[in-house]
Amino acid sequence: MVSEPTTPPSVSQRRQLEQEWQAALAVFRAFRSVPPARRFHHLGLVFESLSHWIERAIRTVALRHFLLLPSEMVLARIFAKAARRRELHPGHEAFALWVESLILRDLADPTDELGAVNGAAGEPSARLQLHFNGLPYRERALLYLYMVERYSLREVADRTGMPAAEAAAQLNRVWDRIAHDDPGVQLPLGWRAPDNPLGPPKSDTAGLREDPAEGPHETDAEGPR
Amino acid sequence: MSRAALLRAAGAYAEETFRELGVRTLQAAVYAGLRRRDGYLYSPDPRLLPRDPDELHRGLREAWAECRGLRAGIAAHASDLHGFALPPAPGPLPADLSEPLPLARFAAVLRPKDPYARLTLLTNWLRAGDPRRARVELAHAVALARGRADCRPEVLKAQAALAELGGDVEATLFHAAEAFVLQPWEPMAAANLLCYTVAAGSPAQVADALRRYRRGARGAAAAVPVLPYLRRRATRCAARLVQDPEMAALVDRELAFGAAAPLAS
Repeated sequence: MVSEPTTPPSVSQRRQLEQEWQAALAVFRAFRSVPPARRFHHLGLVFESLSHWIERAIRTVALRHFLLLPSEMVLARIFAKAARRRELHPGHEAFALWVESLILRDLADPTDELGAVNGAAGEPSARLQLHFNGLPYRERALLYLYMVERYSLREVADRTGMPAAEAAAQLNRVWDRIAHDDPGVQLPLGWRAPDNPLGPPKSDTAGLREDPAEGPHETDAEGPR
Repeated sequence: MSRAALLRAAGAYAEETFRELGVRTLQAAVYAGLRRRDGYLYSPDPRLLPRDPDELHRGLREAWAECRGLRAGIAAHASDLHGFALPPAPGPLPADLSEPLPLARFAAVLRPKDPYARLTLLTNWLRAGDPRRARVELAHAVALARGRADCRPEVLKAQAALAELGGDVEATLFHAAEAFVLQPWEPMAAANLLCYTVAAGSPAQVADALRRYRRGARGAAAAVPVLPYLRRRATRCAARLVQDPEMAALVDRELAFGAAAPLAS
């Protein structure tokens, strides 16, 4: 089991979030009360108030399930569905759950293009999304934490409960498989290739004896960016 | 907030609104078809039934007005929606929402790739006595439903209805039986098979269809007003029941209509 890489908000943060959500709800309700033929002119305002909630929920889904999503397209789609609702959820947590259910439903639908379209510039390609999202949960978690979130190998090992050496070996194995299946695969902006994080096989054991988490290529131990 | 993100969101919103207009129009066509009393036993897919007809009609008018406004607004302010295609302008909304045919035609325009929209329009052409246009819609529906198991029973029922109109007894019974095999619990599939068999089958086939009707539908068939359906005017089934009193008596007996024997009398 992979542990959640987030910390719960404090009481004051929760209160602030709640107030911000109420403000977003007020903008949404004002938008819904505009005569239908004139709603187009108010889209910008309601998008501004809802978009960061949706982005936050998308990021939570991606992290919770270790999914590669064309975030900008998902944001547009979910905004459209949210803005078409008669009413939004009274709490932001329920709203986030609704976003999660939509994303998972669309990903599970083979006729849906979600997870199979090219993202915006810098986002993962459609082929990479397909490969990545089709991996077993554990393998996805490894790749996501190390490659996308750029956790150190030690942190990946902590989160997954897997020995660092095993995590490193699996990272290489899974990524090699993807690269073998799709030789043209390109790393999106900001990603880090596994590139044998514990170093070449000969120095593997030596490196592990000294510090299982810090191989010759491991230079960023401070966690996610 | 980037302009690109906003335009993409506006495009997605327009798509969603046009989709909603299409769904609501289709539901309104189905609802109007159900309300119509012309002896046609209409049993649409339950997923197309509206939960609240008043809300449906209100939402339909709203969605239509919004689609018009969206189209005009987007055309005036943005030519590029960053990956989202602007649907064509919706035509005028049918004024009378109790008339199923105009609504079904509008739904088929708004949802050209939806087999259920085609099947709904097909049903309405059949009810309007226009089998030629119904055949055109059947061809569309068959093509669109390819690979979609959920549409198969509805397509088969439509194929049976059109085969019967064309006088092709073998094809009629084949399609009706196949629809019944796929949905033995569905009252309409059972009633159709019975009706077509009474129209053209041998007494043994009719007895078998009656047995299947009673057993397969597991009581649900009782909810279907099968008697008026069997007696619909100008159908082969009704003609056979008039010409063949033994057949009428058999159906009366097997359907347990009792001493009244409405078909034989």
